[in-house]
Amino acid sequence: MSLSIRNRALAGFLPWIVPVALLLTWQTGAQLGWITARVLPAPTDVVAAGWRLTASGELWFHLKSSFERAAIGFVIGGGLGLALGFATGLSRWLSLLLDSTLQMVRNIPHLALIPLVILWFGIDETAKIFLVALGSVFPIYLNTYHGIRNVDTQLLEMARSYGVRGFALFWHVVLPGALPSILVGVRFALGFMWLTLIVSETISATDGIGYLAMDAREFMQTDVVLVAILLYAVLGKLADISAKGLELWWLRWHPAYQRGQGA
Amino acid sequence: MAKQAPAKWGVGITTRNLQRQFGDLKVLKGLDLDIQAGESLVIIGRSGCGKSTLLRLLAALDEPDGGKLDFVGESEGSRDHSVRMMYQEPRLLPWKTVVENVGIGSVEPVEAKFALHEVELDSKAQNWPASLSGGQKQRVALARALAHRPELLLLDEPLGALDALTRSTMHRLIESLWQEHGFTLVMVTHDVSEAVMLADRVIVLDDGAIGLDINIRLPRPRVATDPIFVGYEARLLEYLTGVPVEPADKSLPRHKWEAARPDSGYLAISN
Repeated sequence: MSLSIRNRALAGFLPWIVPVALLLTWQTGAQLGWITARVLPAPTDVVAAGWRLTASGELWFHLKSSFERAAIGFVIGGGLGLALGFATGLSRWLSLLLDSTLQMVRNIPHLALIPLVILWFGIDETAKIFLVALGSVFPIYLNTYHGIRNVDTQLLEMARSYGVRGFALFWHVVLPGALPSILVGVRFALGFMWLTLIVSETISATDGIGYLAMDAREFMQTDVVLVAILLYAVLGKLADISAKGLELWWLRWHPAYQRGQGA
Repeated sequence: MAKQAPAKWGVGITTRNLQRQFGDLKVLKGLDLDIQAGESLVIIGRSGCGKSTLLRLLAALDEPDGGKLDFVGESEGSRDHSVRMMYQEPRLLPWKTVVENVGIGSVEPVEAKFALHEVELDSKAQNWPASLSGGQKQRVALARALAHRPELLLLDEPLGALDALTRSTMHRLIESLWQEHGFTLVMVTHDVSEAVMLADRVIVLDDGAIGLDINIRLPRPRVATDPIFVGYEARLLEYLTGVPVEPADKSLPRHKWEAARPDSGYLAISN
């Protein structure tokens, strides 16, 4: 028993060794002048830069612009992907009509469209939101379509023979059956969402975290660039955690998402 | 919760020259069958004899290629009767709690709870299906079927995957609910003993037609060790395998065992 407690403490401690060691090496390396501040400023300098930006309100301003872009683009793209996935998943005719085209279009890397998007929308807000929406539409479309197509036919037969039809069949059987797959799509789409946002904000912007980084680069403020990169990491992680939270709640019936509830 | 199940008569079924084929394969070749209202009929037969196909036709999950299938009851001829089916698998919706599963297809929550009470699973009402054992899942499936107050209950080998002890408990449960509700019960099984345990009448489907049709005249609840019970089992097994079956209890005089086969003469018995 005491051994297992010790093992557990060790298991909690072990993953921290490498990152802490790296940080210490980085800090000492920067302080002793092995690494120049332009290449990699000391962690303490990065923290100081972060604090400075927070205190001046600059950080919140850029964070807000980026978050708004991401959210609007994701809602538009995700909503469209969901709607298309429902349409092709539920109707054989719509699937025949649309699926092969959508599968073809999804193979174009959406970032390859940047020149075209700039020609269409210029370099303002619409272009960025369009790119984010384009990045999140296909992962959600694909997983929604497959989720619906793979709903257990035995359950569908049972539900129909018990008088469940139309919208009730969709709501009680098809949608919950497809939900695990849809949520996988959501997590993929969130990844694409941040990627697209970073790229589109570094091209042309007057606000946002990408702008913060590009502006800092002009003035050789490597510490601010690092703050921006860390912000992206934190935001990406937050998005992933909230998607996981949705899974935990919506899929709480699933044995894989149950903890401590014995079978 | 003291709500009494409304007394309801089962529905009778008549088929005439019922046919179903898949491609070139004729599965049902003109079946004539009369099922009495409230009767417990068990259909047995080898794999591929058409027993599940017949059940799916009765459940309107499939359409016949020829012949007639009529429900005999108040609204004669129509298929508006409530027919419910229990499958080989429980087919519970994993994302709904046990009581929600029973209530599927717009059943009042009170009715669902009562049906769950009838299969003695009140305590599991709020559990997820994933946390139940195989036997408990099939009991939930039974409650789900009963909640609709069916006139005809179809059972497609629902106990095949259960262990012997659980199966025997399920036999008692199904029998008592059938006696209480008075629905017509049609069950498909591989298990000869299960057939004799539950049936008023057993038919053996052989190559898409009725090969053997016998009434089981035994008082309920039945005991599997009863010599007459064993006699019925032996008779069905002999028909299915084509090999004469000797009684396990050799001390039982041969003539007595023969006498335990009601309506004998259906079958040519060796020596």
